[in-house]
Amino acid sequence: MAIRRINTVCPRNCYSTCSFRVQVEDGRITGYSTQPANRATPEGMCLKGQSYIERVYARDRILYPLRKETSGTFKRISWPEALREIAGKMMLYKKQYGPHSIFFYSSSGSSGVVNDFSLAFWRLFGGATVSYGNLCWPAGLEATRMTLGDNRHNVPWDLENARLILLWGKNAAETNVHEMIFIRKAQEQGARLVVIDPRRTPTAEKADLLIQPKPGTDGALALGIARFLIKKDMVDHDFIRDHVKGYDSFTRSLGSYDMDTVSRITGVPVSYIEKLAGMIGGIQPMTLIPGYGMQRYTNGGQTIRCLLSLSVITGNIGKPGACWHYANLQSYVFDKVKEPLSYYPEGNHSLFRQTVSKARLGIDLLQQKDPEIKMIWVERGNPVTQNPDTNSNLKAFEKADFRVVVEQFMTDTAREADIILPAKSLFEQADLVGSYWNPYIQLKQKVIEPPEEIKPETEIYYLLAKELGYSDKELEGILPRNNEALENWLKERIKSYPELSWDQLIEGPVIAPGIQEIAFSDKHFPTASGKIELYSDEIARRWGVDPLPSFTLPKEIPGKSRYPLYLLTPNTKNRIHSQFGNLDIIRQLDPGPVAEINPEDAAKRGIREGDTIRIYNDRGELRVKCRYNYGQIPGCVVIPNGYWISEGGGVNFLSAPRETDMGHGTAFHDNLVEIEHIS
Amino acid sequence: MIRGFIYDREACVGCEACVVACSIANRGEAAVPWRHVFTFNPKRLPGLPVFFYSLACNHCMDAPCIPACPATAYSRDPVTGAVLLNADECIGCRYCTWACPYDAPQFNDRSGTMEKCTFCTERLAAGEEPACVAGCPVDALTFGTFEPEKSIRASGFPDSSTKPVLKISGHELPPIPDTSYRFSLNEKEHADINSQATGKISLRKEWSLLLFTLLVPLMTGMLARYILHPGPAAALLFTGTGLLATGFSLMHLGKPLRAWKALRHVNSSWLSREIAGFGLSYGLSILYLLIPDKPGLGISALAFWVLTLWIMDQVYRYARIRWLFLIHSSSVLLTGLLWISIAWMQGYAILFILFLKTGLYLVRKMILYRYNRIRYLPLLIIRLLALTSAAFYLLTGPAYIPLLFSILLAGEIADRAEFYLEQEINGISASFSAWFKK
Repeated sequence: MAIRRINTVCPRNCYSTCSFRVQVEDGRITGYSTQPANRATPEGMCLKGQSYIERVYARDRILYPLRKETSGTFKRISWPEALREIAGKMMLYKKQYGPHSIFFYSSSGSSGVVNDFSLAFWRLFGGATVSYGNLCWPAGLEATRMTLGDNRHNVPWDLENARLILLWGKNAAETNVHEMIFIRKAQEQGARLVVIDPRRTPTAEKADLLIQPKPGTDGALALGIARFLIKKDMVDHDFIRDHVKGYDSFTRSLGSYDMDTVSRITGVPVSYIEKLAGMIGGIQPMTLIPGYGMQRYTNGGQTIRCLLSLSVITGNIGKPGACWHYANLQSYVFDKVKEPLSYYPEGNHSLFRQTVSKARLGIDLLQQKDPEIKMIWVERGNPVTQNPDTNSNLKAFEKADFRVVVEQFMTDTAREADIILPAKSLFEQADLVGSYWNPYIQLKQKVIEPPEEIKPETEIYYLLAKELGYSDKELEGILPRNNEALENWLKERIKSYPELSWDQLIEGPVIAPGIQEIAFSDKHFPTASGKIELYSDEIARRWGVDPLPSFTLPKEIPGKSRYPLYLLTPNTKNRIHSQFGNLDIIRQLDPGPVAEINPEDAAKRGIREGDTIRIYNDRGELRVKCRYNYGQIPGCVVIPNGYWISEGGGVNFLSAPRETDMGHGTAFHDNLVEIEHIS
Repeated sequence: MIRGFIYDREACVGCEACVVACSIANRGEAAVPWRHVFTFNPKRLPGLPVFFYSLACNHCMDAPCIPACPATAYSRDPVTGAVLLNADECIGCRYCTWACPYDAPQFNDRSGTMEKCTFCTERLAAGEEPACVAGCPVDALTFGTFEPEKSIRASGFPDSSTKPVLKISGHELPPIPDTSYRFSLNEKEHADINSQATGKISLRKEWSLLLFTLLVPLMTGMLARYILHPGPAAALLFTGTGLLATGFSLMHLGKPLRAWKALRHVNSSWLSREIAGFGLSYGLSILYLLIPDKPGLGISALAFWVLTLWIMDQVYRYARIRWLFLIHSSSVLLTGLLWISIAWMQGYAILFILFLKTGLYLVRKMILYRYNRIRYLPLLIIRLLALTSAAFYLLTGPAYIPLLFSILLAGEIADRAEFYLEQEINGISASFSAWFKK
């Protein structure tokens, strides 16, 4: 039996972007091994990566095109049938209502440059309605871009050089497990670790100090610390003089953030704020690692600017061990327009109507006029449960006449489809994948043939284009007709970079061209002023926020809103959003959603451990079992996001369709609920 | 020097990649996870650390599962030293789960047999690491050679004499982060958390054993009575009860058709001895019922039963507080002797045994009270009422023997139920809970 070992990369929406080797025997994947050439992920993959064999060969994987019967069940159909029906509908809607009556939606289900072909197809078709914005991180990206000029950070292994590591709202042990390697190495060399999180996470167990502020108040905490540092003269005057714009006006704006006020807003005792501030001011170098959850509030972008100000005034930027560790887009060399700019609706695609915000998907779709939405096409996403306001999303899907979903499994979105087309797995087509954490460009090699009748999206689009009447000549250079053409296109893309070669990429990860290992080590900040902009005219003009980092309360706050409890919907180690949870091997460890509550909140409502509770607000409700957690602050209900409705989940029944203060992000964490015991 | 798992508790973040890596590598076999990540303090109680132990099988040098298995399904791999289980020989009695203090053997509901970690012997032979080790994302789990330690001293880790082939680094007390928020526990909450059951054994799981251990002493009493008052009805009742007891003991097995294999390990397994003892005693008794004019045969059968009763008590020697459950007020031997005394109307013997049972019962309750583990109040009331009212009836004379018997039987059922409810067997959660209380 011939055993082959093939280098590849995990393309999930995850920091780590692990390199690994796949073992293939007779065309079937039988195991993996580590790829130590990737210095950021030199050890094994997380449990999700380990479960890929089951995911690829899962008994519930969708292997054929399916059509929904009138009874609501799905029936296998042939590819020609599926393509004929889809092409027929597309031509009809285009003729009667114009191409904008078709809504094309994609999300972060799988990353790589091959995804570009989707828009190429819709451009060929004459356009479509598409969404703008992003569910994840744009508020923080925009805050960072406006302040530092670009989103980049030091290479992950530079963390070893830090002497103070601040994980602010990030639970690396679950969401970026490989970062823990470098944190531990730094700790062995004497570094201190501080975690700031309303929850006592597994990451917090490794910390010296755990600060637990009320959700949505991190900006105030940061400003209080900034005021303390400035008053105690624990700032880097040389760095500020040479590289910072707006320091004086920032200093003046902090007057009201005395310790007592900050303590009242955040719920953190003064002694702990001072302890934290003393560490930030006294220990160098500091790497500040903010998570993405904090910026999914209506004050998210400004919160990130407040946090970033601490790295700026202490001069912790552009040095080994000193870094603002938000997002590292340096390996995204193939993108013509980088995030967050690529999220903005400003008309770079004249053929496309960009009037649907990802944050308001359902209500925006329902409101589209001239033409209304007649057909929805979804790939690489599960918007029904993963975008805010699930009830509106369901209504919008219901209102359309015809829905196509490209999927591997029967997700809540796939269930809404008229036709489901089977989607490829990561092993079934080659791609080039960057990372927003490590500095590598990686080749995701084709390892196996797609099982049964599965086709990669590029092939689906090619066949659909043919069905729509385009000739091979018209498709030349627009859509690859087969795997060979696709791989040639990939080889063509790397040609403009002499640092990259196909042969080298086959052997493993390659450092992206032009990488700064220590970001901003040249002290060149590509902002309007060429300096770090604490004060930004542009941010005020573009987003209508304070030109300085400032704190405003989130939209929903206990006491002022009708509901008293924050609903926190973090990510866990067991899934990437709504992916992986359906696999038997994951379900053994995580059988379904459970709400964690502080026993104090439970006692007030007569709720006992193990009870089924109703979590509700004006937007919707969810019924799940509850569990006590003595380590999370009172006033929070915690349910990881991503559980399917069919698993008893769907946290976005409760979230509001709102954008963040900047970047067209999604403020679904700005979300209050009440809970009650049900019998 | 020995070769085995090396676990760095400080590096482990509890991510469970090892669990999935193991299940994937042993696909087809691992229907239940062979490796587990045990979390200490999952509820995040203030003032206590949260930490993990990732454990599969420690392939102990004095592996207790090997001698305990009645079917000799366990063996040691001469090359790697791995403790291996031959599922084809396993009868699914789960006795190894009591013997193992690390919860390594796992019962597979579908196959009715046990499963466990194999050290990935095939991967080792190919020069690779075990799958869990290869899969660990943070290098917390490694495989290598090290000096065996006398015992593993790590917070909350089971203290045992089995010589586990395992090295745990990070021995000192796990640190607790300085937290800005601290839940204030009141005394009642503290008590509630402290008294949570942790056992591997429970009445719900072991109801067939409860019935078996009630029926066998009863059979002993029946035989004693038969020796004095033989008759076809009594013979029929005895034989029927024996069949019922056999049925209940078979119901406990995942593979009842393989029950005969349980006789293979009489030289070392108490469970094997119990089954052999029961079979011999029952067989001898039937022989006696067929040729009743040989009282010597009857007395020998009775002697065999008494020996079997003593063996049956020994089966439970894995209890966490061993003596408390070996010298138990519902000990099968004591109960059997009680029924014999009643069958033979030996007033003083009855009184003596009841006195002994009452004493043992009260002592046990006092000890468990100290551990804050007095529960099941209705059972306690039935038990005490049975013991005291029996004494009352005894004083009034032997006129009400059937009534006395019924009351005593109710008391024995209650006490034996408590035996299974209160029993704790060494395992990770029991060990965590003991450390927690400290």
